[in-house]
Amino acid sequence: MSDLDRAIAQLRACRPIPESDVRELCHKAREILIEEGNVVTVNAPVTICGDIHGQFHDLMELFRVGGDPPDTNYLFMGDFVDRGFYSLETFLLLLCLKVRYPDRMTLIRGNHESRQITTVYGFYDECYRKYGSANVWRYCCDVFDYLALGAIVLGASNTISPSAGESSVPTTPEGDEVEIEVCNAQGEVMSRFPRPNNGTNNDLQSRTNGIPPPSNTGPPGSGASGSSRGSVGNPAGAVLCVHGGLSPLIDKVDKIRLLDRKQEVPHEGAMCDLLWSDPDEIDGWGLSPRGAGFLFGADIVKVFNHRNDLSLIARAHQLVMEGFKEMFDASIVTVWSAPNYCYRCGNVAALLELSEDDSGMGVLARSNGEVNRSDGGVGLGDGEPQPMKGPARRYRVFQAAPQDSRGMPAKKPVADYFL
Amino acid sequence: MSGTAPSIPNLLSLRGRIGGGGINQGRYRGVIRRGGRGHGPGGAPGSASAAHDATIQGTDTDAAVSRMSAVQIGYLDDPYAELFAQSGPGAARRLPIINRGTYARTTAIDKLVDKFLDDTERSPEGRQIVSLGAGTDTRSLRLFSPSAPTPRKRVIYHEIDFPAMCEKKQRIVRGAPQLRSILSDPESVDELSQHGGGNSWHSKVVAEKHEGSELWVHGLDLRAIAAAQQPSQQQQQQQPPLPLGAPVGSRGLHSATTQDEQQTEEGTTQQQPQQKEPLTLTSLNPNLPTLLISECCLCYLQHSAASSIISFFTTTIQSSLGIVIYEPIKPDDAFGKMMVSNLAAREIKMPTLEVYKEAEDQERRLWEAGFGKDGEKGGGVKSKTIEQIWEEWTSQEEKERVDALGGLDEVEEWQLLAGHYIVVWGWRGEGIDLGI
Repeated sequence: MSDLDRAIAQLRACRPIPESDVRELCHKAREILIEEGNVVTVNAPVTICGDIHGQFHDLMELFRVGGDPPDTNYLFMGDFVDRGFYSLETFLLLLCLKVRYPDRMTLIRGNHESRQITTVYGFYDECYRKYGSANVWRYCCDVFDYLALGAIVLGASNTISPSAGESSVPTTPEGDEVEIEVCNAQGEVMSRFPRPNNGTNNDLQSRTNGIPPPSNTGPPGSGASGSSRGSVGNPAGAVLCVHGGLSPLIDKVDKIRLLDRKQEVPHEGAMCDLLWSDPDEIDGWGLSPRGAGFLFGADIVKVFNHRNDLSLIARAHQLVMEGFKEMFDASIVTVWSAPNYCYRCGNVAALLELSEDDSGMGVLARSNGEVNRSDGGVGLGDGEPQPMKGPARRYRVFQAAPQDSRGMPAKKPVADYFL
Repeated sequence: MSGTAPSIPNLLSLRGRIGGGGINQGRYRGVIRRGGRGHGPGGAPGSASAAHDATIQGTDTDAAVSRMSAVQIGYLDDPYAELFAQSGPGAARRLPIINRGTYARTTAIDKLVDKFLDDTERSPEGRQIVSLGAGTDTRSLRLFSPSAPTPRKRVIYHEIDFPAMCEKKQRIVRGAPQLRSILSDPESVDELSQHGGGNSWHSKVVAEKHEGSELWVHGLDLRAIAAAQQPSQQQQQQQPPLPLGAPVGSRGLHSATTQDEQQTEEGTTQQQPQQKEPLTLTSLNPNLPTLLISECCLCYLQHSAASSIISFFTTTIQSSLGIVIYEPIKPDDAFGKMMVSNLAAREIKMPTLEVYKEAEDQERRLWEAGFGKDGEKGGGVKSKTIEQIWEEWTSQEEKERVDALGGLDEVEEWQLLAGHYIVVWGWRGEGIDLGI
């Protein structure tokens, strides 16, 4: 479709495309998505994004901060629609980009990519209002059913690759391996955290919303990480990306692959849990206050990661005022990409960059979960499993797009309050 | 929800109307006047200030639509909500987070009202409720409905709001045949003209189970009460009665600033001629146990005016007195800053929010107003955020019922929003104990 570039240009200007074009686009998108497995394999480098929720202008800001597609390889973890005023333009643009650059754009399903939820939270009404019928909503919902449920990122580097010309902040002392770097929207490094060595005081906790630093991770090469892949230069373990979290019905990534995903999000079961669950400071599993999915504790994450040779789970789904939040010794991270959520919450947003391992071993990582090669946790033996060494993470934190970029009246209508 | 999926109020669709500037255009510009600056008490509305007022006045419409939405989906049982929701049934649909908040605030105030009425059940002369800025609130109708769960005898229910508001309410009450089983045909009351008021009216409660109860609707800009109150309040400040048991030092902050603020903020009203009769609300009986309610009303006034209005009632009412205030808090965190700026974009200002920022400030406000311990007599001050009310006052059964209606799926957002609204209440005197 040579019209695709025109459609992208039109949507980038936040103008909807004709209904017939939407139908064609959705048809093509389905053809591409149907070929994807339930768990897509993505090679680093990749930029991982959380909820967008129809905040179109903030998506433009995200592209400004993270780089334009297809130059940047993007992975969006769902919840493209609902709540914001521009769910339609947001989802259609992402879908156009998916069709145009299928290998540079990965879209996985969020709990809002559902017929039921979109009738309550705005996307249905928006489609109806903008087209005068529910046809476009139906086309989009049909695409939702084909979106992957998760992704596995392979070949992410243990070390932060320098982003040339961006940083004016002093680098860490020679020899220190940077594990986490936090940048602002201008690309300036706001803070860096070296991978903790013995005796290194890591103050990440104060910077990332009270998350304990990954103190259990052994020094590089010490083997204290519980695996032999801890040496410098080796790629990190794989990263599982999913919208919500884990399910008590899923102990292996391979089990996600066996699900029949081409349906409306069910009210319960493994597929529902993957899109609805949340990590929480509990032991084991708990009931979710959301009414769907479960809460899961650190022990669940650590066992799951060990069993599946994962070093990290990246997920979205929960508003985080600071944009991202690492939990459970950095075994799981929440990434939230809708700044000033619902035009009301006052939060900042973040995206997560995983850079490519340049040791030449990246794609050789055996931990892609596609083949059942791990011991399934049988060999856990005594004590809590030690987490694998995580990939180096660069978070880019950004704020809502400036008002004047929205093309909206100065007195823009705002979110509801109790009055 | 339903197959036809009535549209969620889409703010974008209001763009044209919001920009239009006409008083009656769009749902956020009602005909109701409410709070804010503008015309002083006794004066005719000036054109510029009236326009400024008008942007704030839609808050009652906003609340009515939220109430309608919560009722329609089944959060609240209120057959009278639709009479006052201008948009009519079908158009009102709020998101679950707003519906849950509307549910929590309404049931919380209901609970406190019920406790007050239970406590004063045997009060020989009766008891009264005063609802400030009641607007199109339906609480009085629900209370006096023949199908209300509890008989409420000898309750004098006063509502105070702008004359235009009272005129509208009278029109609706008069024109709704189903209300004749609750209220007698409204009768106009001539009062408050010296204070810029008007359109007051009165109805008797019809149902026998609520024998002796009445509704009085007073048409008055609340700032007139503040203006009328100021001379006596200044006198009062010479000899402020410190409530026994009030936290040490709790008075200092307030009295140190009040006088200055009055001169700056209320400068125009102070120059009003002082020859007026004292302000009296017809049928407000100073000797009855009284409950004062401000449901998002006083927060739209200047701090000194809000204090003066509370002071009017604490000095007028000689019997036991309770007060329930519901309004936002925490303007200084990220959510609160955005709230203030978003509301400012709608020209809604909440001056008291800058003074009573936290729960402690709200509680201190009531201590300073004389609630709390009062010698041998009872008293107290308490507060809960809407989030706490939802967690602590809503039964598990109700939570499950309500959650099944809306599917509120974002707990973090709820905690943020509901944590920024508070119900603070206080009581003094014998016979009432709102310590729940």
